[in-house]
Amino acid sequence: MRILGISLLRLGDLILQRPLVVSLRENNPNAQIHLLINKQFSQVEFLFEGIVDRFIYFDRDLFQQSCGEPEFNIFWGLERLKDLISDLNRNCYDQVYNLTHNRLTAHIAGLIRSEKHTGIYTRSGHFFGLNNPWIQFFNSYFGKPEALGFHYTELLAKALGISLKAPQRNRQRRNTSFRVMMQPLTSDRKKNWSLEKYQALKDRIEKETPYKVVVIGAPYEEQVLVKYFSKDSLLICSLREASEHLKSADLLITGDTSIKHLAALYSTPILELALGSSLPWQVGAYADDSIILQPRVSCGPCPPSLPCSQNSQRCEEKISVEAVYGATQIVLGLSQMDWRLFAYKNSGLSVFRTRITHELGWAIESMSIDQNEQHGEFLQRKMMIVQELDRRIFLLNKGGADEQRTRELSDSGAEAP
Amino acid sequence: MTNISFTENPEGYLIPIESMQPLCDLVDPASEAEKWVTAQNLNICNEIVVLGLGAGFHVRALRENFPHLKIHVVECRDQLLPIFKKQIQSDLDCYYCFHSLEELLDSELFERTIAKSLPVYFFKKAWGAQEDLFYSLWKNLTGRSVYAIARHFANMGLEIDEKTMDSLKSSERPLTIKEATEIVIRSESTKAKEQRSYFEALRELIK
Repeated sequence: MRILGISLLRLGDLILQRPLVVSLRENNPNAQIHLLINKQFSQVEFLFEGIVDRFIYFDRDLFQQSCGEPEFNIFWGLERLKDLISDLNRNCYDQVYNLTHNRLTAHIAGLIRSEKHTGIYTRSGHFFGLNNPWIQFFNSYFGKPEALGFHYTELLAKALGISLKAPQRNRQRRNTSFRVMMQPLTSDRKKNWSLEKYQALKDRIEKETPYKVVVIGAPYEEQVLVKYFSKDSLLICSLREASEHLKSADLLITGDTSIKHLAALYSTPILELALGSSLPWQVGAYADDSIILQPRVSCGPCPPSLPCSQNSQRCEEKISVEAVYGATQIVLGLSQMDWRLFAYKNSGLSVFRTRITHELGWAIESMSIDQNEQHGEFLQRKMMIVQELDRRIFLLNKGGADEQRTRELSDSGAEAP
Repeated sequence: MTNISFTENPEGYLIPIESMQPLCDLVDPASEAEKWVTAQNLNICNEIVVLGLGAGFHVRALRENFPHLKIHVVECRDQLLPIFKKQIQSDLDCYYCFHSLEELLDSELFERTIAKSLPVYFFKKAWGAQEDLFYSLWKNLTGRSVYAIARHFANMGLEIDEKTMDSLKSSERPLTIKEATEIVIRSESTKAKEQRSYFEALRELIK
């Protein structure tokens, strides 16, 4: 049996999709699993060792260049796309999973001949697969308040009919390395906590606890980071190297980054500072016991595609070094303070803890007493939606899928924000 | 036919000048050509078209840096090749002199460029006073003219109806893959339906 997964989004999405590919492998131990990914993210291959048999690259940048750069014939991209599809079709896939859910991948999935397509695909301009109630819910509500409490990974798994195994619980971990890692910079300026504050936090952790702090960054971030941190405390490295360090770290402090999702794969304890457009209720760490601090500001979470609308970054200003240091102490077991007391003392912040249970799947638990009621409502609503959509899936499967029903797909499709 | 004059630079090279415009840097054409080559994305294909021979330094730089590249050089001024052969390189395997767009469209090079979607490069200074002609050659060789789109479509077994053809002809600007996609989407033919997803996928990439 040959299975092709199509995943043409960004690095973070690929990491978030790993549990799905792991399940595919577990359910199909003898299958050849191939993954079509953007060439620029080939660095994630190591994460799928022993899971994916072959990676096939989509050179998105070159395709995009070919549509606009003057030296290219405007049909060059068309010819190369035909070559790629022809290569893929030579593999005679039995099943194609579209893990991406946007128009581009729907067209590509439709061009690949296969006995079974899971997820959306097109034929002669018509979209298929959108009659699945979970896919409808994903496309309509992901990134919106209606889907609060549904994690990207589990929603995608539901949409594709892939069962997920709950990850390991963090509580079994023991401190061994006395090492805290920080990744201060995110891909979006409005999601960043200031470097001055990270610097002050690092100084305090190293002065008042036995822990050493390692500041992690990508090579292109080095110039900025060296202005705030000494060279020997910096770890400028590839994703692969970073993952090796994360495995043994006692804590990762970061914003909404791919490194956060990577740490979740290794059950490394995470303290997330959710600023700007971060949506911890949907793309928090897919892990048990991860802590999230989110400032309570009227403008947040802000829209992902727009710059900060305020004169100064209010959400950033609202998280103090003192608060993050306090949370760090609790996670590391250096303080016995209860999270609810911590939340009470830092009332300008929402304090959340992630949970993964067999009954509810992934959930966010609010540590703030005033948000308990709202939190309970979210959980209840999630359970009702799960029951109703699962019932509809059951009926759909019982009655046979109506492949002729097509719906409109929004421009972006459903992507992790 | 245009008048080309030559002036000798400090290194003793004859630099062609057309309507007061030198076709390369007067003082250091070799360095200028090296810079141009460095700025090009030449890893797309092992066969390319270069529009404009001009003084030829850029063609020499291309051949020196990419000896295995098959280069088709297109020029429209007969006076330039003899000087190139004399002072830069004695041979030029794939050289074409088209005095008009029609000559290009009737050529085997045009057929080959369309069939293989060959990339087309140009060193704009080499165009001199012939910018309009070179621009129309570029539009056609890169699939950006109505005629070129029609030829590409014919190779795929697709036809463009007269109404669409007329509306496209009224556009002066270079056409894009978006216009080609619109034609395919509007078409009811079986061939167009088969190709539609390829075009729509490409259109998504340029949104």
